[in-house]
Amino acid sequence: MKIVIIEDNNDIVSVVSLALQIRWPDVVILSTGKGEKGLSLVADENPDIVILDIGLPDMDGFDVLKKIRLFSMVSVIILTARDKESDIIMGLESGADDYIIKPFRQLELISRVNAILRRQHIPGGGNAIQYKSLLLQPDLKALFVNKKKVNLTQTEGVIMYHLLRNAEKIIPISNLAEAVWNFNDPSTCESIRVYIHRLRNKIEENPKIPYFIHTKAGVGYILKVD
Amino acid sequence: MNILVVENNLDVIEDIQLSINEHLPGLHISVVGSGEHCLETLNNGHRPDLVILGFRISDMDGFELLKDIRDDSDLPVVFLSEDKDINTLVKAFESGANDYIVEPFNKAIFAAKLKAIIRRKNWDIKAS
Repeated sequence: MKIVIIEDNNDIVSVVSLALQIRWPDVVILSTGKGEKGLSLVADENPDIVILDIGLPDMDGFDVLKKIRLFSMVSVIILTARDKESDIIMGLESGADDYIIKPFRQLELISRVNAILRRQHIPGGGNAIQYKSLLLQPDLKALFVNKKKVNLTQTEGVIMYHLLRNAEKIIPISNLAEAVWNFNDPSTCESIRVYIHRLRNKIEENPKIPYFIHTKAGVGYILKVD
Repeated sequence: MNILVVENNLDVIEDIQLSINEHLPGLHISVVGSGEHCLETLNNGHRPDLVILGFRISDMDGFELLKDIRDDSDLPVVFLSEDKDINTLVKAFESGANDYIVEPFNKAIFAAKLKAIIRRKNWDIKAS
């Protein structure tokens, strides 16, 4: 995941970067205090999210946003001290996906970033994925089991996608929870167990003796046909 | 374009209607007062473009309803609550909300947020 921060206050950049890195240790963060440089970063680096301040030294942040929108549909969160109604509306109507006012709560920033990432998290890239007699459609909503169509909910589709993509490898429950919700804790892991149960009921001839989805006790699951 | 409002409080419903009528004319609003009616509406083939989910529904926990909606679709959901507590906000987003708006809300800003969410949804459809 890659995030571009366009903000001239180094303290804010540090606080935001630290919050992001704690939540997503693998995040790549690129930052600049100038609007022009920010435009170049967005164009060259193709980030997943842009966090944009409005009060930049070389150009108005709203102009930066409008220029970004000329060439990119990247998700943009405005992070600014400007809290007037007219500024908020201007920001949203200029193309921002969200508008957070400083001083901000770090948890709120992380939650809003996470919501955007979850929305962007569309695995498959348009290709069907197959393992043995299982064929998952690109939209993740239909799975063919021995050529028989099984409808999946969105969450089931995401889980099935990750099982298929990692066929014959053990996937920890926490990894599946992270894949679905960008978050894992005991409750999300328990939810994964429930979804696996539902998937087995849908695709296994005998859900109590699975043919496709096997449990690896204490670890997670594996999609494997012996 | 259709918006489904899930809310029991008449004052909040009126605020939503005023906001949309003034700033987003042409949007059609449907209102249901329970989680059960919300899920029935979503499952009957008349999918809205966005759901505004109030906290005051009587038959279900709002977060559980949100998870049920999210389980079945990526339909945009805006969570409305008078609770400013950060933990409630975090829980709403973790449950699948696209936005969390605290009541009472500024009607112009509320409409601008809805517009941004619908715009993003259309972009995502175009890009897929």
